[in-house]
Amino acid sequence: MEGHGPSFEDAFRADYGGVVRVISPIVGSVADAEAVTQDAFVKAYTRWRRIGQYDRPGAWIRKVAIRDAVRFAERRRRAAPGPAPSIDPADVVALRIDLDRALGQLPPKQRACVVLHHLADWPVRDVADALDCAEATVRVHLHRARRTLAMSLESDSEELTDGH
Amino acid sequence: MDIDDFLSSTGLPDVSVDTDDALARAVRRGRRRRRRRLGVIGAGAALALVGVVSTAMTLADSDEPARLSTGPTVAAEPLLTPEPGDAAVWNVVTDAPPTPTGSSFTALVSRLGCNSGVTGRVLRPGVVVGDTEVVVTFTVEADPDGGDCPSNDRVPYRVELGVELGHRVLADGNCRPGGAGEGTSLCEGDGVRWRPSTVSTAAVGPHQCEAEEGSVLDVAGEPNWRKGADYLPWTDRNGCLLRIDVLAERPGPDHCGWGRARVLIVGQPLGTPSSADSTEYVRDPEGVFHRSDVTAGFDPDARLPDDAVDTGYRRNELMLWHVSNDPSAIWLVGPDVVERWPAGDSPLCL
Repeated sequence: MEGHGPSFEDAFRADYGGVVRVISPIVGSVADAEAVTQDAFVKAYTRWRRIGQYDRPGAWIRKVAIRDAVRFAERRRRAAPGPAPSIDPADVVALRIDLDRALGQLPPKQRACVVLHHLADWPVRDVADALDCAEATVRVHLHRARRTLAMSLESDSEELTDGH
Repeated sequence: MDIDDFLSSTGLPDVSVDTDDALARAVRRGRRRRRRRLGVIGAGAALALVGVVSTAMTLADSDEPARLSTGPTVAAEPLLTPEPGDAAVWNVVTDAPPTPTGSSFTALVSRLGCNSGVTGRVLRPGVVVGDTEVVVTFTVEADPDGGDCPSNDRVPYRVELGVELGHRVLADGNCRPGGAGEGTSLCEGDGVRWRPSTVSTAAVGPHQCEAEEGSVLDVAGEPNWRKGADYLPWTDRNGCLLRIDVLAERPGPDHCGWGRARVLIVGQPLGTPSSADSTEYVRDPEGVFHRSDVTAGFDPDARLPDDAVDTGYRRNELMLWHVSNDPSAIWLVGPDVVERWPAGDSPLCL
């Protein structure tokens, strides 16, 4: 596994945690995010002679992981229509629970766009590249997602107000 | 709370992972997978005799139409991953492409690796049906011997999707990141083998539909404007032409040197004839109209406002979006672009 680029171990240590962090809101749990990320790194391992020569092997792995995460979420949504399972609060320190609930209502691609663009601060161009679609498509996903999130969060806020 | 403020105040979740343990597991799995690959090749050698028979059958039908006429292999239940074998790429049949209303299509499958022009037996593909795309990944029976590198023949295979294709894109899984064909010339366009718009535009195109008198599709009753300029055809979602006085797009008059600008005349409220009230939206990035307000108001890389909605009006792949009760601008949304056209009167050309 040696080459002119970084070793597989170096790439793994540099990127594994970051990839898990990015895709956990897409798949809905840290455990599933770890499984999907593992798969992406295993794919990279079997091709490391080629992948290791890329300028940024981590970018390739992240792209594979994000697409697999969206497919994972789409498969689960088809198998059990409805909101995605909530992220276990024990797994997550900083994610607000109302956002977690609202994100779970979005279709996987919209969810991925929101996570990558708004939470991870990626430019639209990078999101489009990761999801293999046009920038205009990402904007449309974001537009629809923001509208759904706004309605959902407004509803949460009203429930809280009514509760008090 | 404003949704943008809320999202910007919330970052990614903090997660805690055991990187050492995860690395050890990934390396173990990677090694196992590589060993399995070698195992598949070994098993392929044992099937060499079967392969020879299969190859001979394929070669006997050397031209594509003849093989198609014998009927392609039909898949049983679609699976998410393909049967283990050698990677293959595929394309659709040009003369009989998929249709949005169909739930199956014929793929022409070709072995990816060098094998002296022979693809061999096509195995059951992996089919992943998403909201916007269907990714089909093919393998063919493993052949350990390899061979010279002319392109391999194309073997037809009937793919059952289990659902209506609809407006999903068909893509080749071996061309996606991590796929065996990624980056090769066989995967140009990221392996997208078919887009519904390609077919619907070519096969249907803008056309006049039966319509009630006075409706937005009542082209027969529209004013006689089309003779006066090169109006571009706007339609509803089904490709039915809209009345010219409901939505009219034309270039600026050439004889005044304004041909590079475009004007969209929209009846107000949207969806009504412009005889009562209308708004002009102007695309003039070069400023040929010498109206600085409309040039400045045009945005070639716009962001859709949160309250924008799809009007359902189309010009080929372009969608028209607007904000209800705000006629100050309109948005044209295409596969690779979102443009904002501001409202503004085009100057009179005499």
